[in-house]
Amino acid sequence: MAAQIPLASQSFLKCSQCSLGKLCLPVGLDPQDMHRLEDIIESSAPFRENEKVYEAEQGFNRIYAVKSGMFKTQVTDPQGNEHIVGFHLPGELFGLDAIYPQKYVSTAIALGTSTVCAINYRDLEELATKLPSLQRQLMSLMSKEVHTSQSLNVDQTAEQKLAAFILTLSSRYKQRGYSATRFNLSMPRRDIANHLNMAAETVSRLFKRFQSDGLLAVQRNDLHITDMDKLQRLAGCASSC
Amino acid sequence: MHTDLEAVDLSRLLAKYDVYGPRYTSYPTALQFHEGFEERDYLNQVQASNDLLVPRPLSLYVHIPFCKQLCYYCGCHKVVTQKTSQSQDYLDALYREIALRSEAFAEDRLVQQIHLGGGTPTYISNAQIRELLEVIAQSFHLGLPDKLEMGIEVDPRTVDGKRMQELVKIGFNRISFGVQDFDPAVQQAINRAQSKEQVRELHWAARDARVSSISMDLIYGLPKQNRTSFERTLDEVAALRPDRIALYNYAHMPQRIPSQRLIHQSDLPGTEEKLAIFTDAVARLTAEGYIYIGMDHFALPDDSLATALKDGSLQRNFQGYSTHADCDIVGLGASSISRVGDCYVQNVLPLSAYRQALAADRLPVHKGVVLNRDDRLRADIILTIMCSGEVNFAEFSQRHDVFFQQVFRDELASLQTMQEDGLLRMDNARLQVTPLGRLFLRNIAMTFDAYLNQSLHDTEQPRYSKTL
Repeated sequence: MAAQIPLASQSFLKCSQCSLGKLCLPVGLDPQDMHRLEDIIESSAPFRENEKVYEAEQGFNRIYAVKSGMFKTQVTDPQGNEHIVGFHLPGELFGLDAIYPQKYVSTAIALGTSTVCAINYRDLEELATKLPSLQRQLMSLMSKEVHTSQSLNVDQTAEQKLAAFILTLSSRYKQRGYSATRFNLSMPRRDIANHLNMAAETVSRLFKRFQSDGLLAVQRNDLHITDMDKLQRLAGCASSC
Repeated sequence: MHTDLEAVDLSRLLAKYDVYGPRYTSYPTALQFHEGFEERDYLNQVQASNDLLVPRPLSLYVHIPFCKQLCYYCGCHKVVTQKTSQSQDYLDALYREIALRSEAFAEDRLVQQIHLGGGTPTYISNAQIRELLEVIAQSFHLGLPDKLEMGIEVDPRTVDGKRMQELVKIGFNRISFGVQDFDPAVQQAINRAQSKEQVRELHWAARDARVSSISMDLIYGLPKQNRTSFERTLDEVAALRPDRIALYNYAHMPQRIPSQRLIHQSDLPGTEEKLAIFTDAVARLTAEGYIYIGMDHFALPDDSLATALKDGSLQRNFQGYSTHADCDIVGLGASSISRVGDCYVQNVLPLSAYRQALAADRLPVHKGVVLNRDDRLRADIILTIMCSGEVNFAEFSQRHDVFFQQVFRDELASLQTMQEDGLLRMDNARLQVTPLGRLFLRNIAMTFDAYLNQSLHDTEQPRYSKTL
C-alpha cells in the first residue's frame, strides 16, 4: 500500500515554533519565558473522533489549548437535552468556565482527530504571577470567551444565525492565518443545528439556498465563501463580525 | 475523432495496451472488498453521510436476479429459473431490506434516481414492479417528479408493446433494451434469440408513450461476430436512433464464468477483428451524430449524458456512466453494491443467504471496503480520467489539501510513455486525455491504481478482463 500522505497544512510543534503562538498563550513572551511556559504544558496523544477530553461535573485541574482539529463543548439541561455551547479552533482555549466553580461545567468532545496542549491551571496561575504578559494574554483570552458567548444570544432569523455563525468562523480562521473564505466545517450538521437551535434539515436547506444564491459553495464539509459582502449583509452584523 | 484514429498506427498501440485491467466502475475495485466489513461499518458510513452540511441525494439500484434463460456470455449475478413463484419470496425479502435500509437515512435524503437492473427486471410482472415501487415510495422520500429519473433494463423477449406502454405509465422515463447483436448466427451462439421486429415494436411503443430516454445495450467481441455482421446490427440501431448506446466489450473469462465455456473459443473474433469492430463502431456512431462519452458509451448531443460530459457532471458507477455525480448509491437486492459516504458495500448473492439475513432483520452485507485517504485521492483521479478526461492539478490539490505533483510524482513520470504515444497531454497545470486516449482510458487510469501491482502478480488466473 502507498505510504501515508501528509496533510499539506498540518504541523506539530512546540510553542516557540507553533504557528498559533501569535494567538495562544505565548503572545508577548520572550524566548526564555516561552520556555518556562513550554515546561508546564503537557502534550497528549491525539483525541479520536467523539473522544471526550473531560466531562461535566468532573473536578477541574487543567485548561486546554487546541493545537489541531476542533473540539465542541456541550452542556446538558435538566431535561437531559444536550446543548452545544461552543466550537473551539486551533489556538483557542477551553475549560476556562471551570475556574470559578472548580469543576467542569461542560463536556469537551473532539470533532475528528484533534490534538490539544493541556495546561495545569495552578501551574499556569503561578507562572502568570511572574510573567505579566502571560497574565495579560490570559485575561484577554478569557474576555474573548465572554464576548463570544454573549454574541450568541441575539434574536435572529435562522438565515441570519447561520450566516453570522459562518462569518464568525471565517474571522477566527483568518486570525489564525488560514483562509477566511475557504475552510472546513468538521462538525456534523446536527451539531451546527443544535448550536444554533434549529433543525438539521434547516441547516442543509439554508446551505443549499446560500449556494444557489451564490454566497458560498459547499463540497462535503469544505466551505468556500464566494460573496463575503452579501453574506455579511445577510447576517446584518456590522458589529459582531 | 474519425481522422484522429486513422492518423496513428493504431494496431501497434492496440497490441501494446491490450492488457488485463479493471473497468473502474468503482475504485478500489471489487477485488478489495473484504468480509471484515460488517453491517455496523455500513451504518456508520450512512450516519457520516447524513452529517454532511448538504447531504447527498440518493440513487437507488434494485437488483432483480432472475432470468428465464441463460445467455452464455453473461457475467452478471443471476439465477436462471422458470419457477416464477421464487420471485415473490425474493420480493418479500427485498421489501424488508428496503424498509431496513431506508430507516438509517435522514429524512431530507431525497431519492433522485431509481434503476431496476438484473438479471432481468422484466422477469417479474408489471403488477410486481408497481408494488416494488410503492414499497420504495413508502420507505424512502422521493424527489419531485421532474427530478426523479426512473430507469429499467428491458429484455425484449419478455415484454410486448402493451406491457412496454404500461411500464412508462407506471413512471419509468428511461428504458434500456438489451439488444447485444441482431445477427441470428451471433444470437444462436450466445443463446439469446430475439428478432429485429421485437425490438422495433418495443422501441416504437416506448417512443409513442413519450419516454424521455431510450438506451440500447450492444456487445462487441461476441462469437460469430465480424465487422460486416456488426455493421448490419449498427444499421438497424442507427435507424431506430436510441438516445444512448452502450457498446460493451465482451470479456471471455471461461475460468471465472462457467456459462462462457459454452462459447467456442474458435468462434470468437481475433483481437484485431474485435478491435476493428469497435473502432468501426466508434466511427460509424460518431458519423451518425452520437457523442463518444468514453469507454463503452455513446449519446446523442442533447441527451443528458452528453451535456454532463460537457459540463463536467458526468460520473461513473456500477451501471457505467451516469449523470448523478452527487448521489449516494443505495444497492438493494442480492449481490447489489452500495456506495455511501466513503464506503462500498456488496450484498450477499445466494438467495437463501439473502433471505435468511433479512428474516433475522439484518442487512444482507457480504463484504465491503472503507476508503482511506489515499483511496479517496486515487478514486477522484481515476473517476476524473474515466469521465472528464482532464485532471487540473491546482484544483485537485486544493480539494484534497495535498501537492498533486509531489504525491503522484512517480505516476506522472510513468505517464510519459503514454504521452509519447499520443494518449494524453501533460504540462505543469493539467493532465488531459486526447481523443485517441479516450480509447485507452482504462490503461491511463491503471497508472493511479495502488492495488494493481499487487493483484496482477498474486494470481495465475487473470482477475480482470482485457482492457480493449
